[in-house]
Amino acid sequence: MHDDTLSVRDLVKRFGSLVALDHVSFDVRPGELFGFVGANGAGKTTTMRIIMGVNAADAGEVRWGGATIGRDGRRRIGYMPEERGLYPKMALLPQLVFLARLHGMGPQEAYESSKRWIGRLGLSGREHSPIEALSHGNQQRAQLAGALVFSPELAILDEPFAGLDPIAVDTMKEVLREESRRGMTIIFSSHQLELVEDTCDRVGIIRSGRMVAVGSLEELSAHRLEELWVDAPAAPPSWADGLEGVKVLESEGTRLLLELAPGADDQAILLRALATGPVADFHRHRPTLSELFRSAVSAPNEEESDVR
Amino acid sequence: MFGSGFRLIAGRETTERLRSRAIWIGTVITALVVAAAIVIPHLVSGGPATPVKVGLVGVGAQKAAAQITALARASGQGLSATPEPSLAAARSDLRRGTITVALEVTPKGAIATIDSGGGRVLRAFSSSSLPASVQATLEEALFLSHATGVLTSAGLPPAIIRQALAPRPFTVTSIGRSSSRATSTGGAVAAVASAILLYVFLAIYGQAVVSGVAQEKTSRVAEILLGAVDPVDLLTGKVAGIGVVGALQLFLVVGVGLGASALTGTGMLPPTIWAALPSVLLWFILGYALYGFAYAAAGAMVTRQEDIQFAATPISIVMVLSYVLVYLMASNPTAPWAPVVALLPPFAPVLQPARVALGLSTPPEFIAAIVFTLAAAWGIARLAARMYAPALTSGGARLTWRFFLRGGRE
Repeated sequence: MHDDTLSVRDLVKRFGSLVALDHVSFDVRPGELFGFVGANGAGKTTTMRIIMGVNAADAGEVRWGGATIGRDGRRRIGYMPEERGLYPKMALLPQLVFLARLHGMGPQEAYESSKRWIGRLGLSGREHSPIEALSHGNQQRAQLAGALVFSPELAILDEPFAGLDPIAVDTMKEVLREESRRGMTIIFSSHQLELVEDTCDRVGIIRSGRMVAVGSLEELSAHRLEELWVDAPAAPPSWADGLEGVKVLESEGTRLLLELAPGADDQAILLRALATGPVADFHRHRPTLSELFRSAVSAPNEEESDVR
Repeated sequence: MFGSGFRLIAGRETTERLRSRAIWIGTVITALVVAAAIVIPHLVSGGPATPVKVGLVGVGAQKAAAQITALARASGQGLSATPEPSLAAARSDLRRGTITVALEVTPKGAIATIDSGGGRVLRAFSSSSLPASVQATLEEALFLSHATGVLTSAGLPPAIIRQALAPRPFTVTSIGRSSSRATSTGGAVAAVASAILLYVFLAIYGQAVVSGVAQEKTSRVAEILLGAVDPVDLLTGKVAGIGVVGALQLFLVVGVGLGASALTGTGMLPPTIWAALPSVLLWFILGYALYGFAYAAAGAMVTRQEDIQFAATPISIVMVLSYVLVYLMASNPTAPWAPVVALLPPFAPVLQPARVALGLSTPPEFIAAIVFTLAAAWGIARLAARMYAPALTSGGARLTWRFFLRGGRE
């Protein structure tokens, strides 16, 4: 394992009788953009808060840089909490400078970096506005700037896209991609699954305090049965019936989505379709994150998959 | 001892608060109130603005003038005397205002003439009477002058006369604990004024700590800060940063008060205030160290801004109690409970300066109170530091004082 891998190991957290985290484990590799998804109350925020030391785990540990994470490690992490946290009456620029300095930057470096991030996130001209005077979207940008202003090695962003308009989403997505390309490891949670799918290298899905899937989209879909889209416009509706190991999952007009049992022959399907006339479409179905998420969160507990 | 986190947190608190217009408006208003409290009574009563100048006419005017000036200097009075060539010249000077009282000395006694209108208005005293202290000095000087003359005529040598008329030291030795020190009305006023000043400033800046910490918690800034700063640095930086502003404001207000007093003459302030004021500043720092950490712990327990007052109430009750105790002590300075209660850390910050103003505090008592208060502040700071991070990051249910007393464990 690489030293700079963030390794979350068997985290357990109880709030009274509620088990918020039940042996949650996953790794995030250096430079990776990691999407953390789950329903409300699944345990995403609690996991992130434990990584940041905001909450203490009842059991388990978080390792980074080859050791259990401590205050020195956390000073190198940029954090954007779910419930935003900036001083409402403090102006943007001094606030960013203050945060950068708290994380170890010198005064000049902190000032220059703050100015740079203000420009990069489209907040120029608002340097001396108090945070509470900014619009919701701009407050969100300010919060992201606060998390990234000191060039952290790792960023933990809890719902960074919540409530943003499409243009702000694009800006923020682009910023995250760029920082990831430069080597920053980024973990973010979101309910916008298309966005996570579009942005992330790997995802972790959490359900009721337990990790149910971790991996790239390919890895997550690898254990699923193969699915094929076939469009045979001239074929009767029941043309795929009786094919061995093939199940019709859904139909859209003349298009059918077929699920293939292990060992089922896709060439036999193609031949059967061609026998009915022309075949307009024949391709493997790549499940979306939404589909993977739905199937993961709807699966019974004992069948939980954990791809790592 | 303190890391860079402490300095940054404290620096932010001080800078942001000093940037706020409210703090300056508050300081100006408080300073104006203090200055007005000193200047207005002075203007109303027409207190001594200029030294009293006495013009002397008659037998032995030269000697009596020297005698009066010496006596006045010895008793610290703004009084000077010069001989006048004639009564007419003295009256003329009186009208011009170059002298404030004309004293005609005759073999049978003296007649004081003061301006009763028509000339310059005398601000030194009312137009119909001399201040008692001035009159007493003049009478004493005339008596000494007269007695010297009589004794000289009787043929006594000057050395014997000086010896006979020299003041005899008068020493009071008391068998009671407190009555050996003056507990005048002026002392009581200074004691209550010190208590008001301390109570107001400790309350204002205690509230600033509670609401500052509560805001940091409810706005979730604390979550970000705790990732970068040790909770002890966060707590001590917060308390210290706000305390610096409080101390600056108190110094300013006290400075304005003393300045106003100096401009209008010191007569309006009781003399014990000069001993009490440095102790007010010292005890603000000590009291703030004690109460500031307790208020910070209270602020960390708050989960909604509306709960701030509720969380701070137990501390505020103790402070109000200290304030009430000062009144009780000022009305009965020899109460046996006072020296004991004034040593207890929750009450010492308000009671000790009051005891200094009353002339009751002894150095051992004063030092013991400082040591006890510092020890208590250290203990509360440690306790607050232990529960600060868990309290700051707790959500949901309101935390209780039990959580605080158990050092952050539910």
